[in-house]
Amino acid sequence: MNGDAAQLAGGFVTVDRTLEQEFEARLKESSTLAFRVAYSVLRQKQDAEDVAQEAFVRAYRSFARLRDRERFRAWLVRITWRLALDRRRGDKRRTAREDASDAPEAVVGAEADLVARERALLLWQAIDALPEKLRVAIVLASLEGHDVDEVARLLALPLGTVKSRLFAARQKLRESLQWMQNETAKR
Amino acid sequence: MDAERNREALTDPSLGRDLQALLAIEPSPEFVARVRTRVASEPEPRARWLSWTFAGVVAAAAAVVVIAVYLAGPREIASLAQMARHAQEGPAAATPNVQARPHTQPTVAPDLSGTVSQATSRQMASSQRVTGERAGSQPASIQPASNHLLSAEVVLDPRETAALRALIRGAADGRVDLAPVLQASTPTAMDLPPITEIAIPPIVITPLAEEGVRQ
Repeated sequence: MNGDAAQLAGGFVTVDRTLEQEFEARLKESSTLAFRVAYSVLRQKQDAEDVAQEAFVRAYRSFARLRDRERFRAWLVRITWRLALDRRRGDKRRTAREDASDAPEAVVGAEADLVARERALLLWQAIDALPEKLRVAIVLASLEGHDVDEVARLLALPLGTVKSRLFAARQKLRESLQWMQNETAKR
Repeated sequence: MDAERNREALTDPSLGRDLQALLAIEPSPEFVARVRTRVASEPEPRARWLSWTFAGVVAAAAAVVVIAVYLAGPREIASLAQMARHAQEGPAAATPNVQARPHTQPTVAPDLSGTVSQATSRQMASSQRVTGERAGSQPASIQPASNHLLSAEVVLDPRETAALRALIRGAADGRVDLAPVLQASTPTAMDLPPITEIAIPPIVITPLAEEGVRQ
């Protein structure tokens, strides 16, 4: 009896260790992805880390059914996007922080000149103006060299749907940027 | 110069590069460590998985019990219906009317049991209609139970029976008001008189008559 119990407990421990190891591997390979997805919505590094962390915690709770790599990454992207949107909507201090920062941090560090900052701001505004379906597609396609297939897997959408959304997103971005540049030139 | 750069920025490759540069931001070095710490404070995912498994097993067991009760239920209901029918037919044939008997003899209470058995048989009959043919397929196993029911007769004093009937009729007609009785609280225990010594008089045995005297 005791031997059976010990064997059973040993089996659970093995399952636990395997789960922990698999989750650790997913965390290592997907942490930047989750952070960047959150950052594309929030534009604040600290907020993006908080949201990505929360997404990982939720993923850990449901990890028994998210062990497949592709499934995990797709689920993580979706939950991170949702959490970031919720945070953005709910955070009343966001506007004040944006005013204080005045520009995305990446641009501040990488391209400090004024033209680059202005262009980045215009680009963010154009991205914000996109419908959500197009926005998430173009953001994912712009992340760490994701191709269309990867975006389709992450969004669990057919390849053709993703291609048409990316095409529409780029077109709208060009139109928005053109309009903004014209407005800036008038001033 | 700026116009040229802006025009170039609107081409697809340039737009793609700008977007990549916009999102090429790394989390802080301690981010993964913070996630690990936070995850470590969470309960193990195995426990949740096991709890769902346990809940599933409990639900399956409950379903099996419900199905077993459902399958076994109609037979019992059918047997009860048979018993009620026999009880209704048996005592009525044996003792049709209490009032025809003399009041000095204890008698079976056929009307009360008949009333109960009629009500029971009505309920059982409706259940029997639901169970259908299943009820009719089990008569052999029911027979001993119905015989046992018939042999268990309740003997009541006819005066109590008459009084109870009168009470029921009075309550039904409104001549007897049972409200005070129903609202009465539980009577308190009767106070017993103090225990006193019981004086038992000595037994006196009177001697027999003188010897030789015969009557």
